[in-house]
Amino acid sequence: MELIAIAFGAIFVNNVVLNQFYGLCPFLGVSTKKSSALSMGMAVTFVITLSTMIAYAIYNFVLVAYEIEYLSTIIFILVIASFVQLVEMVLKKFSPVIYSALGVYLPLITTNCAVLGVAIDVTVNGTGSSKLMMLAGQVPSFWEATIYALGISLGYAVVIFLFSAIREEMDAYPIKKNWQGIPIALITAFIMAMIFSGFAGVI
Amino acid sequence: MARKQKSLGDVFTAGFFKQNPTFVQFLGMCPTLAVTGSVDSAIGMGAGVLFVLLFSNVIISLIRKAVPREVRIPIYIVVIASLVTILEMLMNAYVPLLADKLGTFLSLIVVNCLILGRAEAFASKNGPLRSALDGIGMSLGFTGGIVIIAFFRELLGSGSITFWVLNDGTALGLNLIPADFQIPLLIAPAGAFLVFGILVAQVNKIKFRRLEQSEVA
Repeated sequence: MELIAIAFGAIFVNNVVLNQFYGLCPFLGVSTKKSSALSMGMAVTFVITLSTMIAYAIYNFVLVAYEIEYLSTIIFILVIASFVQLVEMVLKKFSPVIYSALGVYLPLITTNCAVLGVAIDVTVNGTGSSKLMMLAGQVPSFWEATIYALGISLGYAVVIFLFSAIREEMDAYPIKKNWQGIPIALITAFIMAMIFSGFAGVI
Repeated sequence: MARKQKSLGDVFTAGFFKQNPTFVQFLGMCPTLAVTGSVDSAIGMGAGVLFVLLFSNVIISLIRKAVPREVRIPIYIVVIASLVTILEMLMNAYVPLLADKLGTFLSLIVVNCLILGRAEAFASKNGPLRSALDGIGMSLGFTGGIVIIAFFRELLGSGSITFWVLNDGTALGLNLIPADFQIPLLIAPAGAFLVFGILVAQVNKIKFRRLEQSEVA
């Protein structure tokens, strides 16, 4: 039951883009077409979930054991960067179909702050404990962290897909020149964020 | 070099308006929206970015000839991540309240595209002095941008302008608008998108007007 609450909270209430502002650059950059948004969402889901599991294990079994927690930022970014490289190579070798769909987006994910942000939130001193609906400073267990990461990345995929669908529709309407592109996209995101803030009442 | 190099003054001021990271290049948008709930956290974030960008630009420009092209990005990231770790330690030691407020976004300076972007586009091709000036100019432009957003959000949303919060919790700032006339929505996450969107549209308006004028002239 608690895991369901964590997942629901991660997907809708603490939505990664609209509430936490992680990963905005790809959110605005890769959301002009529905197909590319869907691919980006899938790539992000895959990478965030697995890299969070790896980061969680490294933090708790290596960094904490040797009392070098202060190196977490450096270690995490290296782990994420090499993991993304690895995923890219494995996909290229074993699954050209998936690779051709996701390939372009994988390198972009390294600098997607959602990946590093979630990894830090579930490990370092329970920074994100309120986002997991836990007591302040409480560190989630491995499965709670994994479910949270899965929920966060599904939330990302859902929102970027909805957003791209709206932006595709919007292309058909005349918009004043100075509002075209980023400004109107931000206003759209504002309305979506207001809608999503309604989910806070559900939990 | 065939093209004449930009003067030092131009390098310094490029980030203020023409290539402003916040409103023109849209770099580092996550902190732009996340820390602009109050002016003091925007100033804190700006100071953090200034520290990291200045030193990363200088270091990367010093090692630019020793770094092989193929592995330059991982090397830049390690340099930036080390600087961010130093910044985290300094902030936790001297301004713990600010460090708490910025939270994860303090560590996320590592993936701020502004810093890696300047390393790749400027510091890897220019000398240390020019890179330092570029770093200061760009981060001042970034700070200016997020402080403007934070100014509108905090003023209209919670009726105050907080410049700095001392370590004992006293806020240095002004209370301007009484509670009945505030718009709390602007402080909420959704409000960040609204304020930023409106500001970008106004900046675009000015930009297009300037372009038209220069075409007529």
